[in-house]
Amino acid sequence: MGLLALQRLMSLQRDRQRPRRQTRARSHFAPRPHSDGSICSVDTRKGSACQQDDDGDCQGGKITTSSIPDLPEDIWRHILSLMPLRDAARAACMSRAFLCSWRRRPNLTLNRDVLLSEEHADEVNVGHIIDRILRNHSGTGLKILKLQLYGIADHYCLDSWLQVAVTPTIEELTVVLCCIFKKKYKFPCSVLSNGNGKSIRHLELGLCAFHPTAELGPLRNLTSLNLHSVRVTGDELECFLSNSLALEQLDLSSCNEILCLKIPRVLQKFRCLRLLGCERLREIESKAPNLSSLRFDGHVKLSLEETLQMKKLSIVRQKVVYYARAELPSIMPNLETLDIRSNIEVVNTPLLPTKFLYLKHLSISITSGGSFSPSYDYVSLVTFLDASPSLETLILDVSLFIPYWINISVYSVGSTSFFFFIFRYLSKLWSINQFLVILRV
Amino acid sequence: MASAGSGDEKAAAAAMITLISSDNEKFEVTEATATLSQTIRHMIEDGCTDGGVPLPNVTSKILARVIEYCKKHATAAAGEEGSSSSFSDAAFLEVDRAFLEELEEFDDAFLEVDRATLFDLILAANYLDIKGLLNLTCQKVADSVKGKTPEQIREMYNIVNDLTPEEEAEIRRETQWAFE
Repeated sequence: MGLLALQRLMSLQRDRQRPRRQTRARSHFAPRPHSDGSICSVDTRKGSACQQDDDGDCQGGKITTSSIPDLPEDIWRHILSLMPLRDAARAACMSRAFLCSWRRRPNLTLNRDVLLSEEHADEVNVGHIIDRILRNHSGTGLKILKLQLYGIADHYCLDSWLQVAVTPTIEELTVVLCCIFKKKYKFPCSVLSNGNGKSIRHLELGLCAFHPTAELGPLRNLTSLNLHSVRVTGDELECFLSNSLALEQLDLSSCNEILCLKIPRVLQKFRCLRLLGCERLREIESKAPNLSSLRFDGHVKLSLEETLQMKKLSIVRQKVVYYARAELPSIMPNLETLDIRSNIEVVNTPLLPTKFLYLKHLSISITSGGSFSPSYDYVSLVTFLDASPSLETLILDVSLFIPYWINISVYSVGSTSFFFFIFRYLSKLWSINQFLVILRV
Repeated sequence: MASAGSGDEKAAAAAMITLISSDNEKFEVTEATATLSQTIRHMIEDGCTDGGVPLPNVTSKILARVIEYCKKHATAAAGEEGSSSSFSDAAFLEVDRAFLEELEEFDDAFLEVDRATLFDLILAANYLDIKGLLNLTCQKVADSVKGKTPEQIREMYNIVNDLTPEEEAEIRRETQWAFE
């Protein structure tokens, strides 16, 4: 321990290639949160906006331009939806119009951090607050609901909250339970049945059980599914997937009941699969014709029917550097981004004539943990440069954990070969606009 | 009309659109810049941009700022779908950080305006249907009330309280958690 000293040896930028960098930057340009796309163009008129006349809070039709000056009401409503939840709730008592906006807020993210100030975090019954918010919400127009119940043990009426809040307008639904319930809560699929799931695009479940049945019916607009620490079997998931024809992206992490993951051929739009820490997963079988981005870890058997579409690949496992150089060019010749991380690499990377003709971004990380192999020759990584004529970005992250019993002179040999590798091939870097080496010692 | 004024590099390739402000000032912009506005995009698709696009709701002062925003963001926003951010955690983020920081700096500087201009920009963004600009400017207003009391916000934005004291007390009880 205490050996980590991060040294950035080199960061080489080529200004002349700026335009290319700008082009790639697009992919990371994230829109601001809550840009749900339908903001101010549709202004539901006041009658429906304020249906809660019975409790006298919100009587329809009395909004005058003087109560909210300068900006139209629908823009104020949008502004309120961009405010943090506590601010928006406080704003509710400013005027009728603001109260209506609060009651009709299209996005509710409910968790301890959002609901509580730090001083009062321990004394408050959070379940009670969530209960009030959802029961007083107008019940229509809710598009994004995130119930993140970590640290909340009093979720006694979660089923009924979902029944109140999930309507046909829901587009994004997140339900993450508190870990003390040990994934015993079963997500009530019925809340998305009978047309309530017709607009849903994103579904995220965590720390619960998900047993989709026929009752759920197809979710025709579901594009993204994210399950973490969810009890679901491979068969159940396959059945659900084959009914979700619009699905584009699947994220699974720590779903330990899945042994074999099958992506059916009917998922024509499916393009991105990310798996992390699904400990018992042994096989990924994909027949999806357009899968272009894949990430997984561990020793998983990969059966992909279509590999020519694959553009981005990320693998975390032992000996993956060798595997990537020896096998991948022939299996996935069109790769553009490759990110490989290994903690044990014993065999030097082979010199082969095969090429990654389209590879632009390459990241290699060898964090050798306790099994440092003094014989490993980093110079052999050069073969990746030889194989990748289109490379623009190269990131090497090499961590040398040096156990105390290894003679320092051995380490010196290792690092010498590494530096040798850097300098000898510096001259090759003229075509690479980003080159970053991270050496951890 | 689409004779590229200063179009040296893209003159041949990029079609130019003329935008006409409420005070009759003309602005020539590339199609890529103009189509950040969904409103103008639809007009182009319908082929009604010959002779210029009149924008009677937008003054030249505001239109100039809107165009400044669109020019800067045209490259960034255009091809989001082309390359999905599936590998958001990869170290490649480092590579693009400089560009994103530059864009953020631009946005921050862009928002250094008085309230009247900010509201005009919001209205223009809404009218022209420029989602990024609308969110950016609305977020600025949302941020400006962060941590403020309802009384302070009412004063800042001239909001008339049309609730009875009883109603207000009732709502405050309901949202008590947000005041603690």
